[in-house]
Amino acid sequence: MFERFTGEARAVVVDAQQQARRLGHHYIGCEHLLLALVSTETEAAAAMRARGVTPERVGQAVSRLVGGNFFDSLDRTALASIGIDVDAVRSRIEAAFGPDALASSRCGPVRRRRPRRWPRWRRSRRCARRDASGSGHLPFTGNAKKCLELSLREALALRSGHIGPEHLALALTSMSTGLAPDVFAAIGVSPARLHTELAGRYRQAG
Amino acid sequence: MLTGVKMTAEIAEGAASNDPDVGLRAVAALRALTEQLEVLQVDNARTLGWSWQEIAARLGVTKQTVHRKHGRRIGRR
Repeated sequence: MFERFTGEARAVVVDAQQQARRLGHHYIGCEHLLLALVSTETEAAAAMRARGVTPERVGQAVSRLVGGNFFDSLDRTALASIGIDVDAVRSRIEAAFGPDALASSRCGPVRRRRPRRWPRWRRSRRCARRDASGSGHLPFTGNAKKCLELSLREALALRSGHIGPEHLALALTSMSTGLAPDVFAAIGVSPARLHTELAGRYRQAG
Repeated sequence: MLTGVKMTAEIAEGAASNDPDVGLRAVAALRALTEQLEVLQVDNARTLGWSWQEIAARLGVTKQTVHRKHGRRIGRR
């Protein structure tokens, strides 16, 4: 399926892996695809950012939903508006209590997610390179795979011969399972409305 | 660091309006921050051997309140 991906769409998938790694996650989920997508300079990403789906807010939502450092989950723009510099607070807390003082294990309810567990006979082949820390491929979660398949379907629906970032955006906004809907809810954006808006834009264009 | 502070001040100035979106998000973030700091400080105080009564006095609540909130997590020491 990846052979139909444009260079930009491939870059999103590659960056999703980097985002996952940066957050210390051992899988690539829809949330990482979304984070990578809205960080690009593509038209679809700009349209999503204009609706409030910015890398900063997606990152905060992901940290809050899945874990990560507590400070990353805070809305720093809002706190700055009342004179609180999150970085200043962070550096003081970490100076006094150590860098892991407010790491994910201590903050609130955290949903743990696992990539699909393959039957034993397939596992060694699929997971062989995964444990080499820092390198190798991270596996996609079932929902992320579903999302990539959905982007193919979105491309076909628009009679496009290739899969671009816009089709990934359409797929991410139409997911009903996985973390994508939760992230949109946390940001306060309706994915359905965003999907309609994006679909309208590309139907005209295509 | 200086630029960071300056930038924060600029953002603060820009957002010192009465926009409910920013204001309410600030309240929510502040609440999350205080919750986490309370957990951190109470844990530390207990590790240093402070009694629930002493902790409660600093937090301005009753010792039952602190114990109900943090006792189970920290356990008996």
